[in-house]
Amino acid sequence: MIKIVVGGQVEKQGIADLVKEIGGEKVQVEIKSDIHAANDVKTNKAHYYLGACHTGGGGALSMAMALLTRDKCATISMPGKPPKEEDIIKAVQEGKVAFGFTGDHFEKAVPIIMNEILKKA
Amino acid sequence: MDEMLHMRINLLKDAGEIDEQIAEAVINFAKDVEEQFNTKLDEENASMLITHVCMALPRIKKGEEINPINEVALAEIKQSQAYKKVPALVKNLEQNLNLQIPKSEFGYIALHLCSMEEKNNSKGGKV
Repeated sequence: MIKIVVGGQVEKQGIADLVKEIGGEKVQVEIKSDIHAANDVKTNKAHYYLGACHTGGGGALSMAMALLTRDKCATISMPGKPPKEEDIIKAVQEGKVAFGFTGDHFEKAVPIIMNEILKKA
Repeated sequence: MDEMLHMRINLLKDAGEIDEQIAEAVINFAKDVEEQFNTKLDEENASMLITHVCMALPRIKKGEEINPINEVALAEIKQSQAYKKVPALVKNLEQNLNLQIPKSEFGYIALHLCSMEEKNNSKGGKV
């Protein structure tokens, strides 16, 4: 079972629903505050952190960067810069566990991230 | 500003995401916002605002640019009552850190300030 926590600041329910829709029985998803979500990954209660904000690299990932270090985090979209599949694949392969994106890109970002995580599992 | 917001700022400072100068500037900014909006900032109404400003300031300091907020959203923000208080708050922040906040970043700070005020009004959260 892959445990995903949704932190960040916006579109939390939409992200969680999409994670569940894609992962089905293979994933467990929980919505938390960004601090609690990042801490769950830090303490191995969850495997991956997903979060969105208006700029992609701000509130989406800030607490994950603080608690997990920047090395474990990937900003995969920013305003006007939609997510690129190859960047996400590379980030997951490199062992990143926290992914931040802008709220308006979550429908594009989440399926790519989840498919890659499921492949890796 | 409540304890949780202080904790956010401290976590980012301890992790090296923000320096002491920015941490202090954000705390002063928060005080300024509390005075201007006659409200108390807490995790619920201001975590987005405080976290955003903490992450935006190092970016601005380093000269990194982001694309501006979309024009439709900005036009909507400008209609908000809270918007007229934004320029003075941003100016104080600029003076405090001796830097210039680009227009693109101004839009996001305005967005967060206006959403905070909207949240306060919808909950009757003014103190």
